[in-house]
Amino acid sequence: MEAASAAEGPEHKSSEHWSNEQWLDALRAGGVLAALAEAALIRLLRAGLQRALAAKPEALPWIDDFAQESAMRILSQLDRFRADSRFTTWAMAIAIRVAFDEMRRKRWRDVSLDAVTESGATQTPSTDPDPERQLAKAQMLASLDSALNDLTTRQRTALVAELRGMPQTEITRHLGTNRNALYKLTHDARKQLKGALQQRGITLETIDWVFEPQ
Amino acid sequence: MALDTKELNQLLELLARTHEQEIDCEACLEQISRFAETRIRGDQFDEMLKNVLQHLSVCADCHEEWQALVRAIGPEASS
Repeated sequence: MEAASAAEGPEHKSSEHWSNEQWLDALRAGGVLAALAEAALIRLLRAGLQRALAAKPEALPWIDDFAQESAMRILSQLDRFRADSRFTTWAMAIAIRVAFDEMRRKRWRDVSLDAVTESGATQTPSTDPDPERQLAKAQMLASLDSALNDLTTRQRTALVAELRGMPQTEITRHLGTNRNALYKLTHDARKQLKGALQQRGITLETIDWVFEPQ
Repeated sequence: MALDTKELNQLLELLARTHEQEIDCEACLEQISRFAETRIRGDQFDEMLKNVLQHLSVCADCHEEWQALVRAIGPEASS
């Protein structure tokens, strides 16, 4: 029944109210029905992307392209939809990843990894009014700085680039890897740093104490 | 490749949020729609959604995408 309802298309019932099954049935139906459903999906993605990217005027000229590209990605991944959310929410999440990956690529394409990671560091003294906490913080930062030198060059490069705001998609492009592998690389680096601090007696509680609001 | 004081502070805060086991960006994307709707309904998170929450606290790119998803689906998801 639901497929039959979807078969009557967006003119009969707004796609905003389609069930997950109606969306999947319509997109897989082939022919005119699939074309109508795809057009409805693109409209929905375009509207969502306009809301998501409203604060990024530089993105607005690209929203149609993002919606089209996202729809193709979604259609190729329909079998991965587990129906544990609305189909439209799942599709929107994919569209946002597509759009943000592309926006990040456009913004960072002329920035080299070296330019990001080799910029100078300025050490500023702690201004904590509590001398004990100020000392603990200074020791903690010195320990962390030292532990950073024990990371591999690749780990350190990835971590520093992330801290300086370089998107993961751009770091992966420079390092010749993928987003999940990069995540593992930096996760391993964070665990190693955390372990090194713990070996020096710096625990989560110490970090919380140093950073608690004054 | 030395970090300045502000970056070292950021890194320390990041380490405080680091868990031994974390999900990666792909797993986060697979769960983010359920995470968003669960959050909008105000329901409790199961273990997997707690992992998503932790991932969002250490992954700037996924966090940015999550905020965008909220803007995109907010009116629709709450209807």
